[in-house]
Amino acid sequence: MDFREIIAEGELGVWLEAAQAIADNHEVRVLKQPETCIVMLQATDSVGFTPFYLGEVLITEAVVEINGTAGYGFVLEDDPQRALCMAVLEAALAAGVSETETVRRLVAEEAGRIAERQRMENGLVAATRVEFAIMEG
Amino acid sequence: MGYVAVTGGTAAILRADELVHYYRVRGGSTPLEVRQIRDQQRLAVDKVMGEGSLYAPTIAALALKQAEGDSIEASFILRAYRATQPRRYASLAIDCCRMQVIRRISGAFQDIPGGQILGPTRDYTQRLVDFSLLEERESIVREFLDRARIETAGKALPDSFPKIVSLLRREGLLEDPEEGDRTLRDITRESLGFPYPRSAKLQSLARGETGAMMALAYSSIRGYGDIHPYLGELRVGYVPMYIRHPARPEPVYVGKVLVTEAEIIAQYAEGEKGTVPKLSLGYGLCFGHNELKAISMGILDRAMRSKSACKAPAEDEEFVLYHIDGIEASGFVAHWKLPHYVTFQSTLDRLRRSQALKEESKDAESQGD
Repeated sequence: MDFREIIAEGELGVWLEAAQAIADNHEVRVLKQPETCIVMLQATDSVGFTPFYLGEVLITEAVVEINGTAGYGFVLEDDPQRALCMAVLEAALAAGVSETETVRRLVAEEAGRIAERQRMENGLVAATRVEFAIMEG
Repeated sequence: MGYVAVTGGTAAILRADELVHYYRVRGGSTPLEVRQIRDQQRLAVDKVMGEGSLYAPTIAALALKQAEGDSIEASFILRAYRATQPRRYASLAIDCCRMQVIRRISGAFQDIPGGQILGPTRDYTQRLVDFSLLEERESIVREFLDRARIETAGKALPDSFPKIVSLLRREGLLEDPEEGDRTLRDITRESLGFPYPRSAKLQSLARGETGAMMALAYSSIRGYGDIHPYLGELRVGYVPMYIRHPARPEPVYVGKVLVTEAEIIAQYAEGEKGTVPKLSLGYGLCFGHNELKAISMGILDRAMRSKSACKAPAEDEEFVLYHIDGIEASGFVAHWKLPHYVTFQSTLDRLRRSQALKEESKDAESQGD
């Protein structure tokens, strides 16, 4: 699972606590405050494989720096806290701060929870698998 | 004559706005939480996102609350919000083969690789009022969720499902993609003339209003057209979205977006003499879970490519694309509520003058007799 997917899907409270712990011990420079912006979403049709724009997607982006290493936060919707957490955690891991192991463990734990939820929902969906029989005559 | 504007009325307009607020809350019930709308009115939220052309579930839910459930008004609010936001990125093309599927069916084939997955659907249920929902409480919901978790243990879903149309294509049953303008255009940034490039057609359809698209698609399948569609495949699910960012060499994951995709198989391509008859396709894709819209889009996409000499309305690209945008259509229809006093007065003046002239000519005729 992509690191960003884990932060996006994981429990915000976990990330807030982890990011706060890093901010307490290291200088986190916010290079770009969380800001909303729009991504134009591109798709491809299956008739002629023509690229086209499906519509736009609201996201929040943020950039921070820890010990000269940048971290980027990109999340769906207007979600400044999560974007900032993602940026802080990415910068912290890339900078190899002392909390690296803790952050890795939290990320792995959340990844496990997300996968478990996904398995559960996949199970609900899989239970709707159908095989219709054609009626005779 | 042109439209003559009016002025004034500010105090009444402000009070009318307050009165809207009053009517929204006068029942005295607990104010709706936006999260409740987002979670429990998900199909309404999805419709608003598709028609507002902005994927932003919370803002769409808020717009629905503000608009008292009027989906066109809510999509208008969403599209206005979109205009306040800077567009900084264009995504890489999403790949619906990588969709995390919650529903995937075919109306054309009984056996499909990966199987038919009904997913969350009301298709095979009776539309009876569920009176038990009158008494739905948090404890009942919690019990239901706990039970669902236990019952699903052990059932797995494939990571991806093959596209049914690619199987048809491999067998040589599908017509080859048409030549034509395949450039990626953006109708929100440039004004295009008809015929639209294919990318612009699909973009217009993707932001169209569900009801308008359904009505036009319905007209086509009822007989005002010659498409005879089958639903090759319908899938609903989440697709990952990636962007390119100058600071990162690899594509950057931004999130997963819920979409509905429909592939419509039309009967033989209208064959020209000497060509091998083949099936043709129509393509539908829209934000959120909105099956009627995706299917209607697929039908209209195919119908608009009709080579018939005598085109039905749903086969006329200009007719279809000019009339499916809910915000444009509702704006134009609703604008007749605004004061047209001077223009109508002018119409009355002309009518009275015409009547007077008619009377005068009648008098002259009778005197001549």
